[in-house]
Amino acid sequence: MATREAGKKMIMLKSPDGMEFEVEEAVAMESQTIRKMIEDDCADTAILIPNINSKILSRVIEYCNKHVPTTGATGAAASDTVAPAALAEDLKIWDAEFIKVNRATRFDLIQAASYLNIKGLLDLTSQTTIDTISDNSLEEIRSFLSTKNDYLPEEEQTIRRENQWAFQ
Amino acid sequence: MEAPASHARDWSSLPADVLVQILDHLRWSSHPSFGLVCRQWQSARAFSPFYPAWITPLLLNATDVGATNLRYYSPYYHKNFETASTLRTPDVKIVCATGEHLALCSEDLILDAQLLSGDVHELPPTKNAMFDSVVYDGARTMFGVDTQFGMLGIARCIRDNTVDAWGDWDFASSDHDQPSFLTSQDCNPVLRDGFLYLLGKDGAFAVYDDSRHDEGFNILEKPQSFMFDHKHSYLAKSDRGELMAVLIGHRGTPVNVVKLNEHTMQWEKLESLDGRALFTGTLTTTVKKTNIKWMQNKIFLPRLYDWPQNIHVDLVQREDDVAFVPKDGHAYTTVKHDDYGTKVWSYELGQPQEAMEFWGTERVNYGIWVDFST
Repeated sequence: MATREAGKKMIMLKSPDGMEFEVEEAVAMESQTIRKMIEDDCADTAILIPNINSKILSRVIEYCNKHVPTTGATGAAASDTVAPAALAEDLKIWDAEFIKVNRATRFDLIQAASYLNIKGLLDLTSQTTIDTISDNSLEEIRSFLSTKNDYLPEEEQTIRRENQWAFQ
Repeated sequence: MEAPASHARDWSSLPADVLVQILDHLRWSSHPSFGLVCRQWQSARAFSPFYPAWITPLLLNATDVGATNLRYYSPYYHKNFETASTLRTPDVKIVCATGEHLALCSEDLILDAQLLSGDVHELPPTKNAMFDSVVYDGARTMFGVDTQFGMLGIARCIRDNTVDAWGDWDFASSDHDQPSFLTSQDCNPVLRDGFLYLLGKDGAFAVYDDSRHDEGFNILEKPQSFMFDHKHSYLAKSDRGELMAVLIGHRGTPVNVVKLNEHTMQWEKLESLDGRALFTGTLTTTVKKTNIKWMQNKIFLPRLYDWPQNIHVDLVQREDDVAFVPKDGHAYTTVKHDDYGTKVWSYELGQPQEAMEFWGTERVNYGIWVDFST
């Protein structure tokens, strides 16, 4: 495992469209995928993140920056003055603002959260999908997600029959 | 690099682990709609299997309470869902089911068991009283009824929920001038709006008023008789609050359902259950509205034509829903749709033909219908 220096260790994240982001190691390690790379010593100072463009990657870093546990000199001072409950409330409000994005961005964020394995971000990004599915009819869900119904009519009938407790 | 505005994201291509994550946060009742979005989404459901426990009452059975695991037979799935719970209380009988509460009874002990948490609370000793039936209101009052030699006695025990403790049993003095009352041994008395209705062998009622505890039971002049031949009679409060009785002949035929007309105080034969289903043949009988077509207007008894598959599960509550989650994470296929209802004895009310005899069925012993719907 990489040893922690007195100062903050920095990591370079590169997006496939050629942008580079310098972030604190602790922030990058909010991603379990990156954490594993660092812990297994697979990472040099720069890590290429495939499939995630710079626009999405910068938003993911923004999320991780906000959610990284505040430790160290400045962090300790902050948690002395702010009650944990208030801090959690503040994070919730921040999250709600953060997720006010269009559907395409949300889709990319879900995929990024899944690839980078950031549980909090995955929870946050999939919650809107969950709400959509819970509150709407099947046709509304399909049109909201602009997914194509790829079932044959008889296949759809079979699923309805197997779950008749939900549909009749 | 900005993606072009027309570039559509293909939500059906979301990876399975993301879909499973979404499913794990989604109400169970929304899972089928989720699966109907597209094939990829349906395929994720295999990783989040469950069986709803709320769609019909379930036949709870434990051959030896305290030693054997509790099993829930589902007439919808024709499967036995076996939990790891034994209720940890040897030598007791299950005598009443109210929601997720079970009343358990041994010679001198009454217990309240909660099926979801597995908690078992012991009530104070009954001071040598022997109850023939026990009824719990599901909230705070346990009633014990003694019907020996036709003499009716009742006691109640009230739980103080603020201090989480049961008070002592309070016995109502029995009226020795009362004529003897022959009780139907097949079913528990039924509690409705603070009154406890005890069914007599031929359809008469003895009624106890909780607000006039000391008066004990009063035998009503009406109704007098069912007017139908029967071997067994089961009393139930319907989902609409009606008092109903199910009358079943020797070996299962004939079957009649009667409803109390509360103006004339006479039993009236029902030709239909108005789309509801009736689960009887145990100390507890329930009448439920059901949206499952093949179950509508049917009467179900705890008799099986074929022993069901046993699945080891956890009983899990998520929000208000209760479901069985297979321990091995495996999704078992459901029954073929032309098999629905052929594995459990049932009779559809209002049919010209009589009910089938019990021939070829095996009775599920020590069973009681429990209802997890809210």
